[in-house]
Formats: sequence, C-alpha cells, structure tokens
Amino acid sequence: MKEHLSFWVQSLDNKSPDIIIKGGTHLCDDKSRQELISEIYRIPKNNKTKIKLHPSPAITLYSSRQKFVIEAVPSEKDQSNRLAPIIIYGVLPNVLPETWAKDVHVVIKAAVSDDLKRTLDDDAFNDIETLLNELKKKWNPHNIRLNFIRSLIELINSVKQLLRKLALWARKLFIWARNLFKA
Amino acid sequence: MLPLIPVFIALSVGIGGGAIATSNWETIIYALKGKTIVVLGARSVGKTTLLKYMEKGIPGGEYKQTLGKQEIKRTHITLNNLNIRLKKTNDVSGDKAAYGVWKKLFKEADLVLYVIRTDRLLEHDSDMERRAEDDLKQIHDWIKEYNSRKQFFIVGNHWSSDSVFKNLTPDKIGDYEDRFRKLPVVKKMTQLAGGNTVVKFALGSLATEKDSDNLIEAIFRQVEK
Repeated sequence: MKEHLSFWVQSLDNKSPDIIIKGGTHLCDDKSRQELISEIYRIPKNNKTKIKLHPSPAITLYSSRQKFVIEAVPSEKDQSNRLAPIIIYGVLPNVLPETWAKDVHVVIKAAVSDDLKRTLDDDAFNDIETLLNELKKKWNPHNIRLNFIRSLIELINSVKQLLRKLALWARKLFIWARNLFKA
Repeated sequence: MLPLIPVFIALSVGIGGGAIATSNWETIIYALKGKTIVVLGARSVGKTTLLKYMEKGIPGGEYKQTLGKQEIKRTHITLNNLNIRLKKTNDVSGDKAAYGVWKKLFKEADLVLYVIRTDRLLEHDSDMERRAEDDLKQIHDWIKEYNSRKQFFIVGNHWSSDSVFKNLTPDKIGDYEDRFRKLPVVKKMTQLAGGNTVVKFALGSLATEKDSDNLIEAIFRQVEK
C-alpha cells in the first residue's frame, strides 16, 4: 500500500527543505523531488470533494483518473503562524481490495506521525477514509463503463444535432444560390 | 491534464480622479493588456499575500503555506478607481522542489514578479542571499533556454515589523532603494535576470491596503507595452 502513496510537507521553520516522501522513502535529490511535485501540480483541481464533518479543518480530495491528492491541515503552524498543510498524493491500484480505504488510512496515520511528525486528530483520519471510500466507488469499473456509455450517447446526440443544423444551413444556402441564378 | 494558468490581465475600464491621472492609468492599462503575470519567490516572502490582495483586495490575513495547487480565482484589482480584470492563476510553493512548476509558469509569462524580503537582504541574511542567487541562476537558465525577452521585476516586500522601512520619510525612500540596489547580491540577481536594462525594481510593503496599492502601482507603472 505504501508504494502507491507520497507525502509532502513544508518545514515549519520555513528554512529547511520540504519533506517529500515517495513509497516510504525520503526523496533527497533535486530531480526526483521536482518530478514528484510537478506530477502533483498536474492533477487538476476541478474534480474536488471537500469534507468538513467535524470542528477540525476541512479535508480536501481532488482526483484525476487513477491519481488523487488529499490536503489535510494538522494542528502545527509554521514560524510565520501560517497553517502548514500536508499533501498526500496517491495512485489507485488496478485491483482495489474491499479494505483499501481502511488500509490507506492506516498507512497515512503512521506516516503523518512517524515520518512527518505532524498531528491530525482521529476525526481527520476518519474523514480521509470517507473520502477514499467515495473515490473507490467512483473508480468502480462498472461505474466507469456506465459513465463511458452515457458519454458516448451524449456525443452521438450532439453530432446528430450538429448534422441537422448543417443540413438546414446547406438547404438555405442552396435556395439562396438558386434564387440568385434565377434573378 | 489541464495546463497551469498564470495571471492574464485581460482589460480594464473605469474613470480616474483627474485628467493626468486618467491618462497615466490609461497608458498603464494599455501596457498591461493581454499580459501574463507569474509571481515567484522563496518561501514566506509574500507571494500569496500579493496574489490574495490582487484577488480579494484585502491585505494580510491568516494564510496557509502554499503546497499543492492553489488557484487564485478570476477577479479584478481596483487601483485609482480603475479596474484591472485578472483571469485565474496558480500560486506556487516557494520550495526549490517546485522549480519544475516555476519553469512552466515562467515559460507562459510576459511579466515575471520575483518577490523577495528586502529587509532580510539589507540585513545580509545569508540564507536569503543564497536562496535568491540560486533562484536567479535557475531563471537565468530558463531565459537562455526559451530565448525570450520577459519583463522582469524584483519586488521587494518589507515585512510590517521592519522598523527601518516604517520610519522612512518620503525624502529618504530614494536612499533606501539605492542602498538595496547596491547590495552585491542584488547586483548579481540583476545581472542573472538580464541586466539593468531588463530588470525593474518595485520596493514596498504588503502590510496595509495603502502600502499594497502603492507597491502594485509601482510595478504596473513600469510595465512596457
């Protein structure tokens, strides 16, 4: 499970390098750090789900196909008294076990406290699990097939409408040209 | 995959206070039309404060460290009774690990605003000096790689706690700016970004609404068509 997850936090002193972990390993070389951050930035934010079930700050999840990003805000603040979010980046495995969200919850909980040394309360972890379960439902291959078929039908209908409009315009143009030649 | 979208200044409308002011602003607006802006800089120098001020017109506030994709919504700045409409942008992390993202934004930009803590450079803060030099070396490589001429601004942001800046009288601001420009690290930064003819300076503060307006105005007044 670990190999599908990456973590990114900024140092609280705003001087030390950001902590970036991929598949359980701290990334130290510039190239791999930059590659991972660029990959995270490539996930568009338009497919976003926010959850705020408790007084703690909201958890945000956004996803694109098999990739997802979770933003959670721990209780620690940086030297400038700013909130210091945690970014969790993951890739959904091809085969999703029933307990996937719970398993990811456990890995995230361990990484946040042991590797990142940050504090998220249990409510926040439960919210993360809820969001992951929603993501899992969306990723269900059966739902994907249904969505694909729906999109295909919509596309066919749009093309039909366009062809109808084109035929109308062609007819008008033909009548106009015919009248022109008659005159 | 959606592209990262830097700030686009689309157009502006409005009425200035007097004839001369309106004329000046019309020139500025004309110069800004269609330009793309990117705001770069190390961590905790005020990039988000500048962008958020452009977005909401409210200085300061409690902000988060910028990690992940932070979108600045479509908005417009009101300066001197004129509205400058902006399209959405992305605020970027100040860590060196985000250089790849900076590069992409840099490539798409016409105006590059490099924000730096003026007070810390004047105090010869070695971390800030080293970081500024590293950033500008990267930018220097991108300038060479893209072989394109961009308008480059060094935007000096003084922290609200900087007593030297707070106690400056109008007749001393010029001396203060001269002292900043003569710093060896600033000279080096200028050279890396294309030299004195390319690099422009805007020094100020984002502590209050008035300060923020003045700083943004100082930048926009120097934009070339």
